[in-house]
Amino acid sequence: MMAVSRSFSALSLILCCSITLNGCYTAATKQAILDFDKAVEQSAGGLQKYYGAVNDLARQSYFDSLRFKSSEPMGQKDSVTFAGGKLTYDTGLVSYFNPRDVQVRINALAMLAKYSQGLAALASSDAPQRTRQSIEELGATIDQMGGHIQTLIGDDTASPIAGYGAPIGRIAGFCAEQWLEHKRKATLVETIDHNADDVEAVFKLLEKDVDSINQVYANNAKNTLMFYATYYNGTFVDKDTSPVDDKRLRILKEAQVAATNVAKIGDADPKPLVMSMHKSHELLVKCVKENKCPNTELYMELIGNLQVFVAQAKRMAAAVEEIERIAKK
Amino acid sequence: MADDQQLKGTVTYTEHDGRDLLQQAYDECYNRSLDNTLDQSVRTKCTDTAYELSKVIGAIAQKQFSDASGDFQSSADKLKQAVADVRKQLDSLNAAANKAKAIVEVAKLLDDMLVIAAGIAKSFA
Repeated sequence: MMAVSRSFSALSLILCCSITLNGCYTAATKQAILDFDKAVEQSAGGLQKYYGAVNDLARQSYFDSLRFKSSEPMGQKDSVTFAGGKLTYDTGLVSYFNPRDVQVRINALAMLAKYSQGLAALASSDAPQRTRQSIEELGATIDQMGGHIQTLIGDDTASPIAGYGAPIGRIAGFCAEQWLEHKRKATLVETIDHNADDVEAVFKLLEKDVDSINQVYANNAKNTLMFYATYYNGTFVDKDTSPVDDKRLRILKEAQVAATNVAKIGDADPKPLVMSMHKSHELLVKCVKENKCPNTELYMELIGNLQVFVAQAKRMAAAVEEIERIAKK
Repeated sequence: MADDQQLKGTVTYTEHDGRDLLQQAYDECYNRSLDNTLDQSVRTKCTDTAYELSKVIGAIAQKQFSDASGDFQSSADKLKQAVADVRKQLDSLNAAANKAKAIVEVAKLLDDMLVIAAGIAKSFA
């Protein structure tokens, strides 16, 4: 009986793959695309929270630097000066990076989340209602992105949108034309294939940016720890201070928080998350283009990577929550 | 990446390499600032240098985030050498015959490092 059942399953799979190739392909990739969609959406939310949390921490670091560098004036702008010029920068009194520049990155990821929702909708042959809903959502996102890009381009005082404008514009343009104007004219393969390079470009830009941002925030947190160590060593070591001296104990407590911040900033680094998202997309493109059925090595690699992706998203979310908790203290 | 190219004899620094070099200098100073095997005066100097470097790194990162670019090839070459010199001097500090003189030399190297970092910053100003 079991042998008959196994033979029947094998036969079903062969029939599925050989007779209705498109249906088999949909079954193989549907779950992966749904998982990818879910993970990208979570990441967009996670990255937004990350920016907020580390910015709060950067502000805290700025005030710490003022505590220890009492000759430094408080201000939103400062500069490093040198022979031949000076480089002006935001101190972090309000926000360390220009919020509009940050918003471009958030929008780029939100756009990818909407794009992956559109893919999930295309992969769902059994959910026409959901497809319609996703296309409507995608339309709203395209409008938002278009508006945002126009605002940035049209405002002379605004920062340029770095390298994000071109790939995002092309993805939005293709989806608007194919998915909205022609009501799902493009197939899943065509859509993924056509946008693959631009999605890759956005992921590469995001990887570079989050790496740079986390490094800078980590430096700020490390500065605070250095200040505490220098102050503690200079004030209490070899000075016959009582072990239960209130000031000493308070500084120790604050230094402990500073050390925790350094560790948590490392844990919250979003680069591994963006990298695994990038890798998942690469595998997804390959899997879809090569029309692989379930249980192939490539498909398994994609599923495995998506699991890593989800684990990274959870790890980052936990670290961000911890930073938020510390920053609110 | 810069190290691989160095082995081949030619180094072309990208913007990212340039900030990486500054970050290496920062990390060196940060780690030494928390190193209790060194004199307190050296650690304090390392703290101050790291703080100034972090300002330069942050300022450049803010510029890069807004799509600015810089040309800093010669400064990057010098900074790489400066980091190596500082590391070497700090490693041999405790064994130096004239420790007071060695400390002054380290302090001067750290100051030089900031001057070179300013050279990198200049290309973004």
